[in-house]
Amino acid sequence: MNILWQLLQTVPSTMLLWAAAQVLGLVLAIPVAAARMSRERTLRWIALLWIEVTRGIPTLVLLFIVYFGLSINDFRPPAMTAAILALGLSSSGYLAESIRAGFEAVPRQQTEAAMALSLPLATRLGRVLLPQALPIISEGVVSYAIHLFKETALASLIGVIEVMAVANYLVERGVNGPTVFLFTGAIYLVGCLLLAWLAHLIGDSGSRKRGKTQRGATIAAVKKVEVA
Amino acid sequence: MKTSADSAHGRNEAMAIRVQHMTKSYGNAEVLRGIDLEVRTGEVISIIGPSGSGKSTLIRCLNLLETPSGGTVEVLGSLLFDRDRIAVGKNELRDFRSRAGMVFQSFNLFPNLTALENVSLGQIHTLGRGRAEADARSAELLARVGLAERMDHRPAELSGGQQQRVAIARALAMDPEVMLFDEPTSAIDPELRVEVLQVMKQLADDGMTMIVVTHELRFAERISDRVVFVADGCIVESGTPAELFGGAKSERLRQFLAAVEETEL
Repeated sequence: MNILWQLLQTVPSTMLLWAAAQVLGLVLAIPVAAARMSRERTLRWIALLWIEVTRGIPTLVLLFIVYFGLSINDFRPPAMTAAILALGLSSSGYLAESIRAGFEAVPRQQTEAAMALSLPLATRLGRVLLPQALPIISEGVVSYAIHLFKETALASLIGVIEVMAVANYLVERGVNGPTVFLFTGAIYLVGCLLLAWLAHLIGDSGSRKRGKTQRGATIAAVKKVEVA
Repeated sequence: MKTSADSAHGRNEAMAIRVQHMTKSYGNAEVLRGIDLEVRTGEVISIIGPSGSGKSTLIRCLNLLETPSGGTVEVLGSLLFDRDRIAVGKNELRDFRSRAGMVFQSFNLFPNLTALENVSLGQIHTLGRGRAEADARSAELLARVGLAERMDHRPAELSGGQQQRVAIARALAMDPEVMLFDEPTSAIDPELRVEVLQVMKQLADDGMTMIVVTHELRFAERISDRVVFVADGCIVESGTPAELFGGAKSERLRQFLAAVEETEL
């Protein structure tokens, strides 16, 4: 019980890393997605490069690049900051693609209808496209958020004191390995289940508001896009 | 006293649409090969023809949802397209589009908004009307198309015929000077088409300038001042409904009418 307690004490730090990286990822992903869908070729190209690089480099490698890259002479960046930065960066590519998939799932005719009414860009995005893209964007964001929650464990390798770091510490101190890691795994599992359950609750109330048929149709459309 | 310049100007103003030698190609595929079309204010024109003949492309070029490849397009006094380029700025184009209502084959209502919100959105954000004023106007228009009871329903809860009537109300809410209909009944159950056609008939009787791309030949015959037959990207024949349906001059139109008649048996 003592083991579990010691592990649980660092859950807030895992949560902080997870939430901050997720927010940073989203903040970066929005302009990247906008650039990816831009009419400007150069912008599209830069966005594509960003997406491929951040998705193509393993998160662990990215973590080391950021941590050691920021270490100049004797200076070491705070491990937590470096971890948030690295995880945020690696999220941004995936999240940008989720945002793009959401917007591309909205039928082109919706844009045409908005143009025929001369709706200003802000209205077209805010009242027409975004509300229809959001269910699909949130699916991508939620599934990545769950993935990211597990990836926070990597941060122990640069010395962030979170759940995985404590688990390693306990094992080094001679506590039975399988027991410690079973508990550790259970903590991550419960966290993921809670996240999925929360997302389900939010999504459910959202789709009731929007009407189920539309949501089903849009998701079917996105599946088609993904297959193609 | 009217000078000749005045009367020429007057004629110009009475012309809602003037298209000259308009072409449209997608890569090597020539969809429109030199369209000439003039529509006077208050006129109702039906465009008929086989699928893939370029009818929809033609009407979509009239508010630049498609950019023509050549020719000139002048609508409501604005020269929209001149030879090889769009001749209006962004703001002018926006202003123009708000004066030309468009009704699509697949309705294209905003699924996240109710019928009333669909009709009000453009009034509020494009025309700058207050919400109360816009909603009052929307309610009036929805009542006019027979949907007073369905204002708070979302598109998914409405039949095709009802959705298309909302779409017509949405276009009318912008107080357009011309209405473009792109196969407005093609995606609707035959039984429900009549409710849309009735609304359009009423609109025509009220003097709206209308261009209607349609497969409903009887309807075209009833409401149109002029019918235009398009095949293979060209206007093959045009004239009054009696002229076209009574005695087609071209072999192509005779074929088309015979084929349609056969399917209607």
